[in-house]
Amino acid sequence: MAYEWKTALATGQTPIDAVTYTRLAFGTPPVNGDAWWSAMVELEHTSIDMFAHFVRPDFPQGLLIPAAYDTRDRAALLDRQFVAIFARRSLIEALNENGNTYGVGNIHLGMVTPDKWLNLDAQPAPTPVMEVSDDTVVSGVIDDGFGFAHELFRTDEMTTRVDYCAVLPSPPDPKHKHASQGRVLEGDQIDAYLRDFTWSDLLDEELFYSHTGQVAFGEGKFSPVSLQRSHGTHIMGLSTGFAPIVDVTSRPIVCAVLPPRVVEDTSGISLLPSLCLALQMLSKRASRFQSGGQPVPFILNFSYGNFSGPHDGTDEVSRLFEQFLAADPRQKRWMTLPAGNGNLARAHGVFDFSDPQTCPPHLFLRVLPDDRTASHVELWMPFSDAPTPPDFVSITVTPPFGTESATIDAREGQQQTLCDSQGRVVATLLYTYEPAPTARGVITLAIEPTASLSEGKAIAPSGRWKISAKPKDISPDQQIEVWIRRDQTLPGYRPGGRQSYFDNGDYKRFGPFGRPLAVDPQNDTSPVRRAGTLSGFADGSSPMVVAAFTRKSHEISDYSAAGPLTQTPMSPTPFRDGPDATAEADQSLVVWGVLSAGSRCGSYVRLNGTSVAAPRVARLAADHILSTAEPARHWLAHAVQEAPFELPPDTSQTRMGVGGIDIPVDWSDPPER
Amino acid sequence: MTAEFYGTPQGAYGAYGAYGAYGAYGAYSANGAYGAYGAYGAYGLPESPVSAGAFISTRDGIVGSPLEHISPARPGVPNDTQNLKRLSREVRAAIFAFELDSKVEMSVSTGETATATLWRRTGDIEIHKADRPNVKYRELVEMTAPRQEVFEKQLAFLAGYADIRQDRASEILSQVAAPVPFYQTLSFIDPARTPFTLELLATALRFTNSCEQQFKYALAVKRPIELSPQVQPMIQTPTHGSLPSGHATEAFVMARLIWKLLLNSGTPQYQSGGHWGEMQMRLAARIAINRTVAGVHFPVDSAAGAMLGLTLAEFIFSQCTGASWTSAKFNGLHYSPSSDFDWHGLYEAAADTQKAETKGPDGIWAKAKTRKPDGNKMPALAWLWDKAQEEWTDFDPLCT
Repeated sequence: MAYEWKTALATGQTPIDAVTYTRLAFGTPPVNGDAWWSAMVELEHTSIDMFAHFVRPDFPQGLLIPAAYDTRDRAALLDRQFVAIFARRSLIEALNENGNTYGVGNIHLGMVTPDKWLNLDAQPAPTPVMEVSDDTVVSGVIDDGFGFAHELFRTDEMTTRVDYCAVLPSPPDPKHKHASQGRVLEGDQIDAYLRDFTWSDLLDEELFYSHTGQVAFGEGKFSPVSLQRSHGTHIMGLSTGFAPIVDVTSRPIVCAVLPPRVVEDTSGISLLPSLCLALQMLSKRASRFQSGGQPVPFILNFSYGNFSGPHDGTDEVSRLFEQFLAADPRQKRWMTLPAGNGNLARAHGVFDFSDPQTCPPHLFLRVLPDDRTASHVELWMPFSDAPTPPDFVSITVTPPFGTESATIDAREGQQQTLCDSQGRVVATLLYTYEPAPTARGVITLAIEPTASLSEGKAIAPSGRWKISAKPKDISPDQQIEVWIRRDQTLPGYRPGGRQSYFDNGDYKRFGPFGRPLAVDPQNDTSPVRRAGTLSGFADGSSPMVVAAFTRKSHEISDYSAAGPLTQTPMSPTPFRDGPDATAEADQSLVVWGVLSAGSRCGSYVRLNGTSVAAPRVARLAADHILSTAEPARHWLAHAVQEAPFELPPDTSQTRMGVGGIDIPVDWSDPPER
Repeated sequence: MTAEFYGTPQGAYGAYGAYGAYGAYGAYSANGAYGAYGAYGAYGLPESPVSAGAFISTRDGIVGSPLEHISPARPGVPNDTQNLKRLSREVRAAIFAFELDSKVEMSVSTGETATATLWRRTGDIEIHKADRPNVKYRELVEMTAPRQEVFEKQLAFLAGYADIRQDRASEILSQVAAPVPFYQTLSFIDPARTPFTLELLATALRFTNSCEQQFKYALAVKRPIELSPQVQPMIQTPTHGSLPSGHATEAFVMARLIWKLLLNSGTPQYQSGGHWGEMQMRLAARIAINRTVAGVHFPVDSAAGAMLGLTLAEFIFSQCTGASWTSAKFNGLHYSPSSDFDWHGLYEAAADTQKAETKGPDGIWAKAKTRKPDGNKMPALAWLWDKAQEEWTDFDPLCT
């Protein structure tokens, strides 16, 4: 099949967000115009009330502000704020226009949210204070599913430690009027289920999870809680699991289950609206825990990551985390994040023009066949706060079966589409500008799926795509940083994404003994880099970011992603060079992973990745947050000195932070006071 | 297959055996449990030409002249259970099977959907007399098939359960054949330690299989694979009908019979709390649900199968011990398509009692009633039960 590039004419307003634009324009299956999409908007100098007021005349039935935002939240007029919303498609398209008049400076599209998961009449909940002991620390977890009936989250057979769980992918409970999306479970209701479904001292967990809304096979909804090993349960076990015999009452748990469809959308970015909503819900709940009129500390672990983003601390996710951490100034809030597992994913490349003698570089993108989700590559321009950013480079793309595209410059309105012989768009090359504080242009290559089971669907060619760059208005010390979005379907999930990767011949994958090289070789000339693979979520200033080590070999685990950040507006003093510290994630090269709670009571399973390193730090932090006046990352640096775990002396700080930290997890040990 | 396997619980060649199930003996050998039967192989093969020739020539060599005075032997004792211990297990199996099979009948009627009724023979036959038997039948299990739309709607469950196939694959493949080794992980069943328990279970499963196959044949419910090309089961679909689930039926028969052995053993740890029984049922439910995960059964099949299995276990127990029995009804016309399989709605393990009524969103779909004993226990089955029961009785340290 022949493919042909076409220059798309810029008509009307240019979009703010390229992925939102391409997903709505080309990438989604036909969706009813009345469907509710989740989205996250960034309001600029606009309160939620003002935003709703602006929208109402044009889209009277088009917007739902979740009940998680109370009257005070809605009235708050801030310079910038992220808000989770549900909106009809026509409104989303309007909000994604540069220069819109609704106060929206940025937008990210989530997912179509089934009507049955929404309660359009939900009202904000009252927030009475819950008086707790002064040694209480609230433990928060956001993940894809929690087997919270596990004994590690109970004080006895009939009493849960989970105070609050928002199950977003679930129909609302008619009795609970305060959640716009999903099912909200409170501790007393969980206790009632524990009582109702226990026979002969054994909990019927299949019944329990179907009644709590997490498992609903008849609705075709997948929950990892149905599996022997579930990510969220394992993480929760490490961060805040205690054996019932310890009778821990000072670590109440608040948690939120993200919709599995969001997790399935391996582009990752559609996670944002649900994450934004979950953070808001947990934020409101956590503030209620008070001792002597003062909210007790709150530590949240979020063991998710992504490859993409500007990697300079200004991305939406990082700023969303900062918004969450600062949402209640009375409450001390810390957060732990994984460094990411993309070190060897070949998902990061660099266009470096520092040597004028060398030929302009190419990145070869291997797009796999049978990839049933879109693949996205982001080429981030250098930071520029100029009113009109420089035209740094020109980019061309050559598909496996087709001609080289016309150049796309780093300028507004630049767009090329690759069409098949029937004129259907199979790829888009588009320039957009990510506004301040990111203040960078980004050229996005969006490639449609290479396989589809639907008749008539445009199919992009799999194979080796070539991305070429020519320097224009770029200085020798500036680079174009390129990331491929995460696009790998996890086991058990449906969409069938396959991860694209850079396939440059000069990338050295293995060392002299055949082991994967975990660090870029010295004097490496390949544009494909391990450095800079740090999770796109983990570049912010406040969260503690944790890398992974393998205990027996005393090495950083191969997959553990590394810094540094890209050149930032804050350079030469960026928020971080990489992770803050490194914690255990593997027992040995052979016995991978660490043990924690399985999905069912009494079971303990292995899981690895930086996902399991971060909650160890959260666990330790909960013991110390009350006794230290330091900010989280400073505390962690000192904690590493208190309990160091030896790592090779030549390990760079961009991989391990200040060093390894040995944090034992013994569920029979009570929390330290 | 050797004859020696006849007396072991292989699912009676039906639900378990339908599909190369006997290739799945690996499941047993995995535990090494059935390797113990290899002991019989030590006798060689009497039917082989080599050994027959050797026996002939040996006789020729040593037989000697005809003896004139040999002490007379006693005649055999007719119809006496003392003979059973001298019979091979496959012979005993036929006798046990006869005692159970001859006690039931089935009738079928067709209304909006088909209804099959399993009848239980009542009244004692004087087995020492040659008179013509005079018997009556009472209803044991009545089963009415759900409407077709229930199965069509329950395809949604199969789509949902299919997502966890990778997680359950090893279990599902190991349970294609009779999953006795899984029960061996709950209670100390072993060919060397509890041979009569295994024989009892084999007897129960053979009978159960006959009954369930008759129900399947009578109700003729189509399998998921016939309702949608997107089920794509991960194992072959057996040719017999979908409802009731044979795996559910046999799994609950095994679970309840083992539980009864434990309960009646007098052994302290089994007597209170119901923990052992609850675990048996959890395992049975897991086995049943795995068939939905695999894509060969609807949840309603498991519900019907569990009800049938629980009731048949009680029936078998009554035939062995003369105890009370339970009659039950499954009315598929009131089974809601939105209902997943929930065995707790049917049975309380701690009390070893089927629930009088089981209600769902569309009404009462199962009923059960305990009946007083109405006949003698069957002698051969009683012998088998007593032998099996003895295997579970613990020693009293004061009586050494």
